[in-house]
Amino acid sequence: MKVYILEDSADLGQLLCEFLSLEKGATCASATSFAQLVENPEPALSADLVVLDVNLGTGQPSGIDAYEWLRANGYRGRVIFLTGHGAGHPLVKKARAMSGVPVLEKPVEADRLLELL
Amino acid sequence: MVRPGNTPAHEAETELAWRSAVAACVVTALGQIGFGALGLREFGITPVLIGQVIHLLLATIVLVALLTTASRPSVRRAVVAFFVLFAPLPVLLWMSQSEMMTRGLPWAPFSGHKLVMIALAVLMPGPWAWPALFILLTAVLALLQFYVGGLASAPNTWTGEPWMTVVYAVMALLLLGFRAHHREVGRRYAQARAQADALTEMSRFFLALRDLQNTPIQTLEIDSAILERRHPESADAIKRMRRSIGELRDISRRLARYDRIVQWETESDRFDPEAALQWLERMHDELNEVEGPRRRRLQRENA
Repeated sequence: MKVYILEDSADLGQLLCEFLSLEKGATCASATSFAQLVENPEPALSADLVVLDVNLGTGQPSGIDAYEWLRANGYRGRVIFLTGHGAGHPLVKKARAMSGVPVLEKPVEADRLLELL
Repeated sequence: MVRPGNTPAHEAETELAWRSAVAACVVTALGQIGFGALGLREFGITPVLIGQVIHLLLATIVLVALLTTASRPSVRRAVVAFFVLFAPLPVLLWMSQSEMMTRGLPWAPFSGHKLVMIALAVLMPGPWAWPALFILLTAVLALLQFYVGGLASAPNTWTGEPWMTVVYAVMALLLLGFRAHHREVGRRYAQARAQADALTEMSRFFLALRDLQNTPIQTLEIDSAILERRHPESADAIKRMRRSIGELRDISRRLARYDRIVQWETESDRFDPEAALQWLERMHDELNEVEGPRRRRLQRENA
């Protein structure tokens, strides 16, 4: 299983990769910004699952922008949004409105994360 | 701009008080010019005319004082302006009625009293007790002049008095009561609105705190899960750590309830928790700058 994680916290991105490798034997890559994703899209486009943080920093393209970019560039795999914001934030609402894309609110318990993945 | 320590409602009330005082000065000045001009044409220079000129000058001085302090208006200053404008009126009204009575011309008495009572009810700022007292004083003055000052036996007055003036006094008091009630409702509404705004702001900061701590808690959660699997010999220590993380997670969930209160402006509204907290810190520093010297003085006094 190949997983790609786009998360602006480098620590969390790396840890998620480590955790998924440990628990699921996944091959994992991570990036901290939309620019990094666009610069090196291959690990994301070839992944079975992409985990996108909704907010990638103030003034930066969001996880939703990344989702749209991935779909526009032929990615057909599973996507999960991860967010630290509340359900009322417009970006989170927009993410929730996308059919078939689960939105997980941080902090998610490790076991629950595994179940959902 | 709202001055430090003042609420927008207080600012609005102060501004209204200042405008009312200015309006009272203008009305007094115009009234005295009009009545004075009529009196001069009909009767020449009389003590009443001199009194009217003095009152006009007084109104002008008060108006200038109000205009020069327009940048720092206060309700108290506006109330004092009304006191100064009202002070010569009992004498002036008494004199004008006496003069008309002695001239023997037909006239409607107490028209000045009625105007003054209505103007007080509509314009005078501050506690409602002052305009009520002035209205009663004006009505009593009319009754006194009617029954004691000889107006009752004057042949050249309209017979509806003094009760028509009493009716005006009652109307003025009712008007004043309505105004006071309206002001109280407005004050309560402003207070409720301020509380709602404060709650919204507070909710924003709770959300800012929650958003800022969610990623570190998530990091700790995954980290502890990895440690738990890799180091089963440290199970007890990791369990304690995970319990603490669970408590942090609960706090985060409790803070999530404030999400319902905050209304996001637009879809592209990117809420920056760091900027929100920096804004709060700046506000705290500014408030400290304003309140600090007062607080230190109080501490010295208490010591």
